[in-house]
Amino acid sequence: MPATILKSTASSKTLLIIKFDTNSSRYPFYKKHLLELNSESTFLGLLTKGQADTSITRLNQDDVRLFEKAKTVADRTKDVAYSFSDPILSTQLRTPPPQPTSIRYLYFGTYRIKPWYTSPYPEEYSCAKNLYICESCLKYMNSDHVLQRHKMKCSWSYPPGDEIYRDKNISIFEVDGQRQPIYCQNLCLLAKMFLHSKMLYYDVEPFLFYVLTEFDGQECKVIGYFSKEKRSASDYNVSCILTLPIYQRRGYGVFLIDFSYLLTQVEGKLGSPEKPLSDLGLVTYRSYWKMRVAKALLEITTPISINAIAKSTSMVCDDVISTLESLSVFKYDPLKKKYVLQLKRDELENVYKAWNIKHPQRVNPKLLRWTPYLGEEQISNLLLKENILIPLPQKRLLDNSHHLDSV
Amino acid sequence: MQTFRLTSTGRNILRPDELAFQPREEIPYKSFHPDLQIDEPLEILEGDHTQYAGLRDSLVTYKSENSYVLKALLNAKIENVKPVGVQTENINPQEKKFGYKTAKQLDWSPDEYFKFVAIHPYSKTSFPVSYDLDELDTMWLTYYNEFQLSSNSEWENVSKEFLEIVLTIIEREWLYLEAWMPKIEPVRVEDELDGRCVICNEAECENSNAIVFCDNCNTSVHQNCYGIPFVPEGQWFCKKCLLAPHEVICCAFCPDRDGAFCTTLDGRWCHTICAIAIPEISFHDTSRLDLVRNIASIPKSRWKLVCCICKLRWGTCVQCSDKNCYAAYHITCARRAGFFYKIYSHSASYDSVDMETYCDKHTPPDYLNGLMKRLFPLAELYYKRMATDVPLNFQATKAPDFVPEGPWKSHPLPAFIVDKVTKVLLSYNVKRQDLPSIVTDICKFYHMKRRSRKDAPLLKSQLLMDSLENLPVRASKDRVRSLEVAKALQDQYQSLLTLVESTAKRQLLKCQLSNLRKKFLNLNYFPAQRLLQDTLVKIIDLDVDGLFNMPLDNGWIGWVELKRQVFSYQIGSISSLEKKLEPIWDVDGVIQCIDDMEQLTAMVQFAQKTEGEVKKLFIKAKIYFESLSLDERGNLKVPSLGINGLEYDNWPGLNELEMSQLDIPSQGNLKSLHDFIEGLDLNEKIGKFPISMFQNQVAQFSTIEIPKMSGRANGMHNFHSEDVTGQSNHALPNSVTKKNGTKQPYTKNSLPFNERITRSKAKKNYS
Repeated sequence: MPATILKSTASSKTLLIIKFDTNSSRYPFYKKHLLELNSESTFLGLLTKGQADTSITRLNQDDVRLFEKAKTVADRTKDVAYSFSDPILSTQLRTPPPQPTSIRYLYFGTYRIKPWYTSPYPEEYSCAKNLYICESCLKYMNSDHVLQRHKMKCSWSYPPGDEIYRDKNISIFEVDGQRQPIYCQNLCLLAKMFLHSKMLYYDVEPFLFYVLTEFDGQECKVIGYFSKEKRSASDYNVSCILTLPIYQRRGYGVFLIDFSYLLTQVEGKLGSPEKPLSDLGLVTYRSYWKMRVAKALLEITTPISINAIAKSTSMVCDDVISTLESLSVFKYDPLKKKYVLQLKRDELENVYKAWNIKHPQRVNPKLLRWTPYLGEEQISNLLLKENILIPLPQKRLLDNSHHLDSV
Repeated sequence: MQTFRLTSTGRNILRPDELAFQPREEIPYKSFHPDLQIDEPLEILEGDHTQYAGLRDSLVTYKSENSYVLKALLNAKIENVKPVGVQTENINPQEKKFGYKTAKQLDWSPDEYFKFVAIHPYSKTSFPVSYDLDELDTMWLTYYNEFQLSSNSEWENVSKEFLEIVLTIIEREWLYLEAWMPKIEPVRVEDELDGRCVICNEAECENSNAIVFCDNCNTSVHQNCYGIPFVPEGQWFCKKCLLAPHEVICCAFCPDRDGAFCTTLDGRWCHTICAIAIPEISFHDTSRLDLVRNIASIPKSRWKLVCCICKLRWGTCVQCSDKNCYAAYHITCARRAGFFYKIYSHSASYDSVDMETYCDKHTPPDYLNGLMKRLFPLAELYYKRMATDVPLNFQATKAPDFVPEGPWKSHPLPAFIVDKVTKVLLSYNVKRQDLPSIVTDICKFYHMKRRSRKDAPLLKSQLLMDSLENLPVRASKDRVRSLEVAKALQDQYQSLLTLVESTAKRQLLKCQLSNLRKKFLNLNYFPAQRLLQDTLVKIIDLDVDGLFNMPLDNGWIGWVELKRQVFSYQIGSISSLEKKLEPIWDVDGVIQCIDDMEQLTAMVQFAQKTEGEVKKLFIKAKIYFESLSLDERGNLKVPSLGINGLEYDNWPGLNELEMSQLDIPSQGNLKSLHDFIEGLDLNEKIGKFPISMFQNQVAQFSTIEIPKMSGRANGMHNFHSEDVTGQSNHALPNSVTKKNGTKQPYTKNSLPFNERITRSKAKKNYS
């Protein structure tokens, strides 16, 4: 035995202490490599001793002095001098330190916006007085100095995804949360400042982001976006939707909603926004649904089921029924226990026309160049449908028992 | 989601006050129209509808407009500001190619849709700079240039762009190095409670309330439970690991040494969970859940409760929420033992807390999948051990005033990185005379900056992340060799383990073997011993009331002493035992010793009653003893059975190797040995005697060799001396040596019992 185990203690981090037999022929081999392997000084054996040498970067007094000097000057420009997440702060002070304040202003391109809600940015940024966001890549910064440095090299002129729709200068990009997590996280963090109930910030992988942009002659600027689960268990076609405050009340929200239903239509599904909706979202959706259902009702002449209306509008039945109610079309006769649709065509026409006047910007399905997102499962289903894959015959459990009976 | 109660008719009852909080759109239609068939075509009515007389709005009970009032919509406060000026004209062209903006415009053609293609981050001629200088970097650069200029008048100023380029490369190379480094994590015993928050005992977490793990002790806590307003980007340490990473500390309210600690206002340690669970105390610093106050208001009765798990008189306990249960325990003990507890707080600062907790009897059996059954004994063991290991003391509850330097690790950059960065710069044609020394200085700055950021990386870039995913495995020679070493070591460790196991097994067998040998020797050299013991036990059993337990003046030594003498080999023969018993039958002697009439009567009656029986027992024993074939020294004759013969038997599990080391006995030997073992009494008392005595005994029979006896016998000696205290130095009694003692004639007292009593009384009166 060239090595013997001396002891292992649970309390310390050392698991084993190995004592080598110095008379063993393999001792030099062990000594040279194993001890080096286990030491941090060579980066766990990744580097040679010469490579891992840190003597030339060892700090001397001048280095530390320069750094401290720069740090004190730089800290003076900041609002907060200490770190709020420092857990020993209160123990040191023996009194509660002041509460962290939230971001006062958001600088986004040429705009200064007062955020409505707090967003879970990292501490450095959450506690800063102002937050600066690059309108091209959505990187967040806590000082205009950094922004200036950043602007010198940010070369993004459109979101990091594929353009799937373009109508004049309006474009929609599909960004995959798995391929561009940082961009999507930044987008979510930005959106949280204007949304009350939003739970998604960092786990963006299972989502697709549809970013609406406007081309201003130089780059495609973000107007709004909606996110959509790649695979939704409950017919949700929108999980989060936002128009940036700068562009609000210009019909972009409705445009995004219309677009989301277009995607659902192409997929051949029924869709509904993820609930609960924000106040603004509810108002927008209500008016959109009314228009959508009114249009569908104007086209019908024969008795029609709720399901058929849902299919023609790509809306789920729940949404269809609630919209029929609010249009006062959906009636009930308690004597005959029967539901009927009572149409007043002129009223419906008014609803449809009024909406169209208010929202001139419409989605043109012809301009969409898009194939639905396919997961592995869907691809295999597709292959099965096309008879490319032949399903395996399932074994019948009953066969055996029949056999036994006959015997 | 709102639930609706169903009446007997099946129709939902809608209560407007319940629904007012939810818009109509968020309630499923089934709640309003339970009998609606969505596949059934609905008739369309236009104008008159005479056939539907009772037609009305379908939604009678719910008015969406009234029930759900939208709050006033927020108006965004937006101002126009001047955009940040960007000047890239003055940048050194050598540095400008690293992704600094040029006036190039986006190629925008109306028909061509953009397709995002991730560019290869690092081409041969340039790569995109991703680091943006902050104020600190700029200040440092200014001071650095000044400092260099003061010592060297020909110093060429380092530009901001240059610093950005170098920092980007350092970050990249450092990240690669870390990615290449093998991940070594200390092996931990996986526990069902691992990964659960040590405060609320829940494993679930959400985005805004994540579970954070301490980078030193791996304690896991929820952000809200432990008061962590922001999760730092770098490392995070719990308060204990920050303030006293190497000390053993004590909570002021419970005996548990692990868990998430905070401090009290008077500077002591305390578990956050203790501070939450004990109703009287609260947090002074409510956002960080620190500085526990109102400790004085804890009633004395709470301090007096004794925990049913740790059974230690330390700290304050909580009690079972069951109305009729008074079981008290520390909340940390309860967590360790898997008791049910749940904290309902009315505020984030845990000012007023309702707590539901149940003791072992009232914890729901399916809580944590019935983990309590397994954890409870473990917890008891933990505290039992802890009480002896490092006892609780008040000194250890004191939190330090002085805060040492934080445990944040940051490694100075190795020469490898400096060389690599210089090489990369040279390959991109960045030329400068004093390049290596500048790179070294920037590396130092990088180290200091990273340390000040608690080792959080300086750069967060998609390009870097993407390039990490495609990182080639760096299989250097060293690493292959290290792997070999590790594998060899693993093998050796395995064989070492096997060896230890077989050694333990062998020792166990040897122990059993020597026990047997001890029994055998016992039987061989003290053939009467077992007979004596058995007989004595039978006789003592006769004396159910223990009349003769105590010694008497007439020479009777008492059952206890007699038993001790017999079992410690002080009585060698049956006749000497008989002799010892004689005072019992000596009625006169007994009468003289006892004053109490009642007792005396009982004793004399007992003696008369049992005398015959005892005599029979002795005769039986003697007959049996004579039937034993003894040799001339009084030892049991074992046909040709040496002491070594006892070394073997078919022990289960004894392997071939072990067998071969022993001498192989003859079949006859084995058989007689087997018979012997069958006949042995398994009484533990046999053979419990000091080995020194035994050796004296052996010395007398010098013709018999007892090989390898002393070593093992020492062990037996120790074992024995605990049982018979004060006997180890006892000289061997004479009776043992007098093996063939003469038979004592059995004298029988002929006088009837009553007469003797009266006579002795008369005697007493006279005297």
